[in-house]
Amino acid sequence: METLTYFLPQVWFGILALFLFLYVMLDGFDLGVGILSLTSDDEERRGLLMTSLSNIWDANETWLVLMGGGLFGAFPLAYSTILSALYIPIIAMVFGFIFRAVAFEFREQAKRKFIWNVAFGAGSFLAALGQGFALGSVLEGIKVDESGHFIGSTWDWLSWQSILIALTLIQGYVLIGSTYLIWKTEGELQETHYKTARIAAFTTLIGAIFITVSTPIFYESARTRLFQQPLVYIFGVIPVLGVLLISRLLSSLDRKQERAPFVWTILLFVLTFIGLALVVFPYIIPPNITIYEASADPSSLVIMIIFIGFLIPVMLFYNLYQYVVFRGKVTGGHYGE
Amino acid sequence: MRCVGRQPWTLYNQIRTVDSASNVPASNVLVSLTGFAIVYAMLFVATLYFGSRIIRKGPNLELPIPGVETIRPAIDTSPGEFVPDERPLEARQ
Repeated sequence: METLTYFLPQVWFGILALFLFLYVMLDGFDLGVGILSLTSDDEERRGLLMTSLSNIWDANETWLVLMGGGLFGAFPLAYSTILSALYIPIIAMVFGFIFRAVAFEFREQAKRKFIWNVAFGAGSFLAALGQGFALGSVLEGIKVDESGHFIGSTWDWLSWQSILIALTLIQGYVLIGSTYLIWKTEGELQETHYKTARIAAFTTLIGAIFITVSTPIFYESARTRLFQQPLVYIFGVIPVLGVLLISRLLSSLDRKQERAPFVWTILLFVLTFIGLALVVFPYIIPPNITIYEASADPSSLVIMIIFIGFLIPVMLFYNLYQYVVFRGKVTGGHYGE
Repeated sequence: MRCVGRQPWTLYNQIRTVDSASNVPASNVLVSLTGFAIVYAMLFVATLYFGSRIIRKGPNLELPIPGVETIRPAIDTSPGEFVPDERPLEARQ
């Protein structure tokens, strides 16, 4: 039993990390496309951007729902504390999702599309911003009492560091959204997104450098974590790999490759995610509460693993299947030819 | 233990609502709830507007029914040749 109390929370940390990663990667490009739609002044183009997402965006968001449910079941303390601390960013995200989701349905029907264009673009931006602040303030640490309950105030999530992280996450979403559009479109529309991908790659890099440098300077808990003996080598390797991946990404953009930019961007996301997970683990409410303190009873963790074990392959299958069914370029009008 | 959801209990005899509520200021909850009410009211109006427009426009009857030809070969609807009824008069009608 002793090993189980350590092993099960670790498994659940892994499962939730997987859900969160799949969510950030998949909904990341679709929020990115939404943000990019704000820069487009042509109805037909915007229509194509939305068409490129219309079959997949809601399936992408199911990973977030699953993660919320999993967090509630596996780490109830973390669920209650984190969601209380992040009340405003999470509500902002939810409103963003509402506007964006209805825009898909109503824009097609509307004669005057302006309102729904704004709902789609600004909704995507608001959702991404909320997520960025959520990520930023969790990494920064949440004020809790000794039993792990939230004791901070409403605006704790707002700080220079979380603003920086939120802006960088938006850049990252724009980057992955641009590379997705390079894959899915052709002609003039594709040309535009070679450009936006290049710009976003630089802005993401700048943000990442600032975060990497400022985190160990301002946060003691992160500093001690980063310079722990075996981990320090991994944290030394990650920035090197990151720079390598960005240079590969930029050269694939130069050579006008269609799929490679998206793949390099996904690898960048994987790398960043591994870095963040290593900084946080084994804490789930940094900097005080570990996964062992916040986890539910081992018996519930076991039952949940059994159910999720059936669910994950099914979900992965239908997600992959929809990409196979809706593969190929999005075309239409003179941008397609 | 069955949860009966009766004030002041969240879980009967286990935990009280006052102890299980989140540590979020009531004003935040009021603002978000009001926000939801307003947004959903607007969306309700938009849904009625677009919905009624779609219904009033009706279905597009010009569109060919997909796949019908492959399922059922076209039925010959041209008038057939006249065959005079040659049964005895009593058997007709």
